[in-house]
Amino acid sequence: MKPACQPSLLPAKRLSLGKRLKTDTAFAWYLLAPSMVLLALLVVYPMVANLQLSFLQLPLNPRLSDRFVGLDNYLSILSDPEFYHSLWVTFWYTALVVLGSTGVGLGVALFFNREFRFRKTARSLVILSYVTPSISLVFAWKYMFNSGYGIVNWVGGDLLHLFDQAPLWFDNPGSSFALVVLFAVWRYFPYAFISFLAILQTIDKSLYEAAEMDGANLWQKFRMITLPAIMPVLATVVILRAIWMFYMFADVYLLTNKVNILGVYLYKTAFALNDLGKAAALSVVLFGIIFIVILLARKRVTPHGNN
Amino acid sequence: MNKKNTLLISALLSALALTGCDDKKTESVTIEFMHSSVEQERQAVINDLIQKFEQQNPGVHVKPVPVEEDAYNTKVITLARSGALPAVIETSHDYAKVMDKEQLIDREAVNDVITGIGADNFYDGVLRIVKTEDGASATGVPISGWIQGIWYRKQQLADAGFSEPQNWQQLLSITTAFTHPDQKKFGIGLPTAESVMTEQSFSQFALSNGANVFDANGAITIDTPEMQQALGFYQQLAKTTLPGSNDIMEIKDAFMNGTVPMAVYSTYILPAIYSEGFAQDIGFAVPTEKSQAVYGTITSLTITAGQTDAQRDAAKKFITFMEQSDNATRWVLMSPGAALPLTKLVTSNSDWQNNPVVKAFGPLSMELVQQFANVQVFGSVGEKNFTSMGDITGSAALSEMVNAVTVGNKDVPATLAQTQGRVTNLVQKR
Repeated sequence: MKPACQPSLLPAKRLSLGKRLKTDTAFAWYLLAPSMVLLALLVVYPMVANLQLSFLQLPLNPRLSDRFVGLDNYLSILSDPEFYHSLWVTFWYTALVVLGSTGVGLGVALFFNREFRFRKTARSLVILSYVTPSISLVFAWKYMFNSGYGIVNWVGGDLLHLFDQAPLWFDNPGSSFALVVLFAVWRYFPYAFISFLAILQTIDKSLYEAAEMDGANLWQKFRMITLPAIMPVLATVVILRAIWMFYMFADVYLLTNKVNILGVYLYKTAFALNDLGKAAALSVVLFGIIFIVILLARKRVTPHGNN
Repeated sequence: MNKKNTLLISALLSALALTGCDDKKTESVTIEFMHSSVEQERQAVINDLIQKFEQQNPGVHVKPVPVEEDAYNTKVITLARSGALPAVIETSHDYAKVMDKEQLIDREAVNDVITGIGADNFYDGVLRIVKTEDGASATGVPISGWIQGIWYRKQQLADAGFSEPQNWQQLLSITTAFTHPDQKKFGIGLPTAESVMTEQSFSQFALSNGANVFDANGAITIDTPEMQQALGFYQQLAKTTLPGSNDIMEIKDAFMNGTVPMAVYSTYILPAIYSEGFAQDIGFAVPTEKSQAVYGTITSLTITAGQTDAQRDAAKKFITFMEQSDNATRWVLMSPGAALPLTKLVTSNSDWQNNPVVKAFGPLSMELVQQFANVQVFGSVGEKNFTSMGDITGSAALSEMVNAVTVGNKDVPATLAQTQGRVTNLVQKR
């Protein structure tokens, strides 16, 4: 039963096009239509096409016929120990980088959220690692950790005599993993820093003054005032960074061959082994995983969801 | 009146038909040319060559598509899948195998161009490297190439009482003598990283010992006594190289800054040697045991399958034009010293002969060109050129095997057995 105040839709059918446009819903749909079409073209179509490819064995030559293989590509992934190893490595890589870059970004933002000399210059310098192209940074790091003439081994070995034999930083899976995590934390913390600094500057200073009068210590002020205020930004930063790191490829691939994260596994499947069907299936699996993780993360970070 | 109308209609139809004929005559065709010369000065050379070609061939337009080398194969795959491969593509003989396996190459058109140029114009060994699996066709028209071997500083070796190594043992004796890790000095820059360069370098030692990845019947032959000897020797030799995974950057740096007197590298090291002014002090040795094995890569211009007749003809004309003496010389001289000419049409060209970099290396420049006759590559057995080798290289199974025994100190026989299984599986799946 319709409420009395709600206009009936039935008479609208008899109205002319111009009059129908005036109804809010129709008007909204007209306005949204271009975006919806774009969304369908750029997001929905590739997703559906990718799903379709995941059930095929594809030759590189489109004039040769594809072969429907059912769930073979999915079964091949799920029975490959290399996939689970990559998934495990990617999980830790993502978790540590998200934690590290968000933590460092927040710490630096709290430190910079005050007046001091050369504040603008210092802020600009902080974001340098984020705005420099990956390839330049990767080469700098490779030179720094080079076994023969890297500055790290020179300082640690020749200068401080911390070790007799220079460690092979990018050859050992353990140290390689630590370095790619460190690299990512250093490279991406400025994003969190910028986001947090922006929200920190909007917090009313009088809240801190009132808390001080109530005898709150530094931790209590952070927990009771800062944290609730930055929570929406924190949730966004964590979710976006988690998505980006989960799909990371270039940084790790360029730095070392010893850390086989999912992005590298996917790239090798598609472009080294030319197994496009399996690569498509892999991206569907990854999408499923990240979708579940993000849903859980949103509930955890924002217990009331969008409300 | 009816007669008048009939005449008028006939006249109009005739005019239309004639116009149609005329249109067909002047109808232009556009082909794309994908190449990896993204540097501004190289693009200028290629664009200039294209302009010259278009002037000589009215109605044929060539659209250059420069693509970064790192993204090259990825681009080929995505364009191939979308049915939008350029008509002419610059490709290495390695990747051409992958393309040929996927029937992406117009073999007939490629053969027509080679016949037009004259097979005799190519140096010995060049056309053998670009043969298809059945040995009947070519995967592309070779335009330039590079070879890899052991570069050494003649004076440094002579001062230590050594001459050019003639076999594995002599090579190991020299590199051992120069290895002093406490002084950060090593005997040789040897590729050990999980990279294509490592596979190429190791292939020279394996092939010089008669070990190949396939036998004549196409069976995988990685776990063999010959391969075990080669991998064992490579492991020993790696003890005289810089610690860790060495790739292009590490090896070139070490050779240029004097950390090592010898290095396994391609001819792409020569421009740096020329710039540093020790071109006369450089020697080139080839890994030799049972036979000599030079590694080489041929860069070809190939014609992709699925083009229209007009595009196919235009592509053939364009490659024929690019192979002409002056044009191929300009192509080769985009990287003087590093890129080697493959035809007598270039080596007889005065521009190549008088190029300062080419001249600086004296007779070595021609010796390097003639080394193509000694080029051996994994997957090439007799007259057969197994295209699955492209997949094996792509999987990095061989470079990972070498890295495991050299950097990871893994057991040679166990690693060979494991790689044999892995590669066999891979080839069966494909």
